[in-house]
Amino acid sequence: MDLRFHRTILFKLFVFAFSILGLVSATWGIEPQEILSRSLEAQFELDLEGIKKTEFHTHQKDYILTARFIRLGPDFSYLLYLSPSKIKGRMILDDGTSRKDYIPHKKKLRIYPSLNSSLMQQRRRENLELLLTNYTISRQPDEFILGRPSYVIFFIPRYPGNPRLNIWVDKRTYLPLRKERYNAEGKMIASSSFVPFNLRKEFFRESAYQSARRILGEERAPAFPLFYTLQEIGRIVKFRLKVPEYLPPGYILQGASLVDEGMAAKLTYTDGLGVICFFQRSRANIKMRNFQRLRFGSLEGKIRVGEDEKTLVWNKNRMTFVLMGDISKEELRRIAESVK
Amino acid sequence: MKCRRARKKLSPYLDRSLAVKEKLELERHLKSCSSCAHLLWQLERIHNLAQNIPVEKPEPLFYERLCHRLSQKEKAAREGLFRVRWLWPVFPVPRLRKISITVAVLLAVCGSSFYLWRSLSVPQITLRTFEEEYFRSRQMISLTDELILPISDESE
Repeated sequence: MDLRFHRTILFKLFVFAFSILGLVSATWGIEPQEILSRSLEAQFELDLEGIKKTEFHTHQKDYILTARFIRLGPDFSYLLYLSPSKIKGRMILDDGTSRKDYIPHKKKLRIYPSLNSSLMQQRRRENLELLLTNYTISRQPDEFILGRPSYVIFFIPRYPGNPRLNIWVDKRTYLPLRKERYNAEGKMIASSSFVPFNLRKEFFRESAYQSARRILGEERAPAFPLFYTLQEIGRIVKFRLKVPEYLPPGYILQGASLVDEGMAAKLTYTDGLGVICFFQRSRANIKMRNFQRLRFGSLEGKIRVGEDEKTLVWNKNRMTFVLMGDISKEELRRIAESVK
Repeated sequence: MKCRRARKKLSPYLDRSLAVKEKLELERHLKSCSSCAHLLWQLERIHNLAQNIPVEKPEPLFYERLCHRLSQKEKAAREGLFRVRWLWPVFPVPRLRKISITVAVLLAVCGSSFYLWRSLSVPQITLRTFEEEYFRSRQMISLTDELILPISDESE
């Protein structure tokens, strides 16, 4: 009898220990790629409300942005800027189709395709693949953020000179709770996190719509494609499209688009995390402050160096070029030299 | 003397305005050239017939009127550019005509200069548009934060 009792106790202990081990191994054994993949989708699927804070450390000064953030499922997100005073009141409403960005003091409304549109979902998946190719993803020991156990993932660039990112992902919901972004020199240039954070289901989107009534309307995002191919945009613009022959390692063309009311073409390159934009238009004088002169090849340009991004502007023949990217000054110069 | 040259001198010969040497040369040619002699005969006949037409006298004060009209024509010719006949009904006074044409020419010059200046001058733009587009591209990267950095220099 005693033996039977002991055997039952032992069996129960074994089952308990096995299930605990299973639980621990299930969470520890999860691949960082899988965490990322789930996290990318989770940030568009959860119902939550909170205050989000982002700190930017630029060359000139530091900014701290705070915004009230509400997300209800995949087709509603609302962002209301609370500080700094310069942009207080700015609101962004994303209904899954269009993303409306309204700046009240300028009465300026801009409409873009939603960050959760089917096109953007596809781009997110492509981007994740590119990220896994160009970055080593390393999982660090778990930490607590806002009292919630979180996965910690570091993105280390395979090619030196590219930016770096650390991300904390909530273990239960896969929501990214904190992000830290570092430039090529290893300096932290931006960090974002939720301050108070609630997963709320009782929040009604009608009340958010009530506060965002100024930007509601039938206006939708433009129907034209967000990105063109190089051939397509070459046919649309009124000048001969130039393309850089050199790109930093890992960067590929993400797409081309029209900007500045169709006056300029934008070519966007990415390595999954960093972004380089190459703008070109017919000759114009671009007003700049805090710049230095930079000679490259037979040309001279104006360069503005920020912690986060660098901007190089130059003219050639009857064209004006603007190159922006979160890469080193030397890489920027090499790209500009290779524009043919 | 050749026929071509001789025929040019037939009219002056009839008017008796040829020099003696030329007259002798022509007469020598006419004796040997029946064609030119026949042409001279024809001219003499026309000349004689014309002599017989009675001459009409002009009306009284014809020459005074002619002189006046000629002086008017001379004055109009001096006006040069302002002698635009289709403008006369619109601006009957020559002074108004002058002013209107001067204004039109000035406007045309100013207009074309402005157009030339516009097409040759380079527009002034700021970096703002490009910066906004750059940060928007950054937002499209999966792991970038949704909050956008305010454009660095609002006053630019």
